Amino acid sequence: MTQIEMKAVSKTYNKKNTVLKGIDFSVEKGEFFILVGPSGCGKSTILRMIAGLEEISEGQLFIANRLANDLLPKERQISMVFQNYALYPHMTVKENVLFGIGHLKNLSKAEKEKRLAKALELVQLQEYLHRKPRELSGGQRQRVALARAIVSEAPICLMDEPLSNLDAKLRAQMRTEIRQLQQRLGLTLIYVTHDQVEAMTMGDRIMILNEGSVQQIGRPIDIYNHPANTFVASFIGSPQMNMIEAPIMDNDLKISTNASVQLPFSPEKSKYLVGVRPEKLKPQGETGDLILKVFINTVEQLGNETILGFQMRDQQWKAKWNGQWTVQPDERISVYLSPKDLYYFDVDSREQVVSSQEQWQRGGVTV
Amino acid sequence: MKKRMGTKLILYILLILAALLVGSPLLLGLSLSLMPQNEILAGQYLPKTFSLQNYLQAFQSTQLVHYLINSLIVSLAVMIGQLLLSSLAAYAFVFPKFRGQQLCFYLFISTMMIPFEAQIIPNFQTIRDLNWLNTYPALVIPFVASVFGTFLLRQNFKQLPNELKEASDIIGLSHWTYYLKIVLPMSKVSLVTLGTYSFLTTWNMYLWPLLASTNDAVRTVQIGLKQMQSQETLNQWGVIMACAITIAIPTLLVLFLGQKHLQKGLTEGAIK
Repeated sequence: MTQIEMKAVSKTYNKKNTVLKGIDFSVEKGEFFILVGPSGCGKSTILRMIAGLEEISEGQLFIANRLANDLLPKERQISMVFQNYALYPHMTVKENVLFGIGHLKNLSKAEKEKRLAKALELVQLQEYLHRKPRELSGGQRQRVALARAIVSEAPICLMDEPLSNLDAKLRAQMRTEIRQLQQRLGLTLIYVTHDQVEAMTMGDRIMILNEGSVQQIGRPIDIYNHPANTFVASFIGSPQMNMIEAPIMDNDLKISTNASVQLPFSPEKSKYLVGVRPEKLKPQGETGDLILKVFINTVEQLGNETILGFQMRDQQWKAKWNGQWTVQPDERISVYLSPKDLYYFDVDSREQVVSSQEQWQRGGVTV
Repeated sequence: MKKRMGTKLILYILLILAALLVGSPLLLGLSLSLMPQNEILAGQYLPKTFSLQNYLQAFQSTQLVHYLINSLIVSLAVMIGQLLLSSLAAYAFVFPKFRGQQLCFYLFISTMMIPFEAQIIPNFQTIRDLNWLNTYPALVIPFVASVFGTFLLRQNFKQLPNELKEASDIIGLSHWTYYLKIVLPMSKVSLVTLGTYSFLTTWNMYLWPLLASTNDAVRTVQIGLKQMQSQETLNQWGVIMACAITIAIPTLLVLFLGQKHLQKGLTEGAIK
């Protein structure tokens, strides 16, 4: 069942400053949906429009199949977790959590207490009932904010970069906790982040935004494997996808002086952007692989993997090798890549170019 | 190091001298209030015999207590009125968003440029036509709306994170609940500052109470004091000084209690 749907929504400030245009997407009931993109891409604005904190300039928003453009925030049956938690500093944990339901007259006192106990148990804060927010650590404050969202028992929960104020270790822990919470409660969760790792690891589906328009919507792994355009290709994945402009010579695409590849489609232009993921640049090759002879200029030892940097004409490329490799800067080495691991993008439209056969194989990939 | 000690010493001596100079009328008053009448007339500066006779007399044979109660009623009423109206007005200038909000605020603020002296005559005429002369409303009502107070609180309210309001919008809180449960408790410091300030200003007010009260019914201490001095042919300076010292006590109390908050409130937002 569709829980939230946006149809051709745009947002304009002062009638001339367009920040979002033609946003179309829908979120299913119980789905973990992630809005991801660089800062200023409009992802928070979309979230705030769903919450009713921001007006919708054009288009329609449906919540549970009901037109919601003009509903008040409280009529939308949502809860929201803010980036800075928005806790009330003069109230204890208990008061903060109960504040979300304290004014509801149709709830008995016992019922409120029951919900409070359940919410605090879910976020493991039972012992901190009477503390004020300033006496809690960042992670605990975050949990109070979560508890306040849970206690309302709203079917939809909106989160605006809830983990960005936490340190890396805590963030990883909270990622799993939020994910588990969402599944246990069957929440429809819309989550905004600029962190592609959060997007990849947490979401059922993600929507990638850039400069106010949707780039791609789909399952994280599908997006990783089949990025719709160069923006998505370089935004998802770390280190980002290597890319280079390559001309067509004698029907082949010339990637470097002595590496050419046959195109899987019939070319319509004289050059294409070719991309390859760092982990697909291998230390050993198979038959049919391309060999690139390169001078290494940076070496990053991460313990479990080694990231090697080298220059491909005007582009800095990176190769990610498993294990520990002793390579000196300025050393000349060979890296191997299979033609099947290459992505081709149109130089002008920046869209991925796929052969008609491949398109047919992929079937229902959403682009 | 030694030189530093020297300059410090000089600075402190200068400070003490300045403090004595500024405080001398008060100290002289205190000294006089503790002297018997004959010593005062003999032109002494320090009492040879301490007596609290002047204070006894101040409370027994003058209207001091009556004036004190009047002042207390008027000051408290103005304080409460200012806190209430200023915070409500400030709320309206910050939280509900409406067209022309800025314009309204600037119009409101611009009234600060009309000096109090220019308002006195129209205010007096209004009060007189309402038959309010010699009543508490005459001393209270003209001062319960405070532009300064509204401005101070508006600045404070604006510093509350916007997300708090948004969070309460999603919960579905009314403006009234948000004002009472969130805004007021979170602005305690500024409210205490404004409260102290308005209490002290009203307590020390002279010109308006002088005009608005023609008899002892609602007369406040400052006027009462002046009255005492001019009524009697032979001034009992000891008693007058005892009265003056007594009426300064509430001021000092409020100042001491509110000082910490006052400093915090007035410099808030300036740093940090």
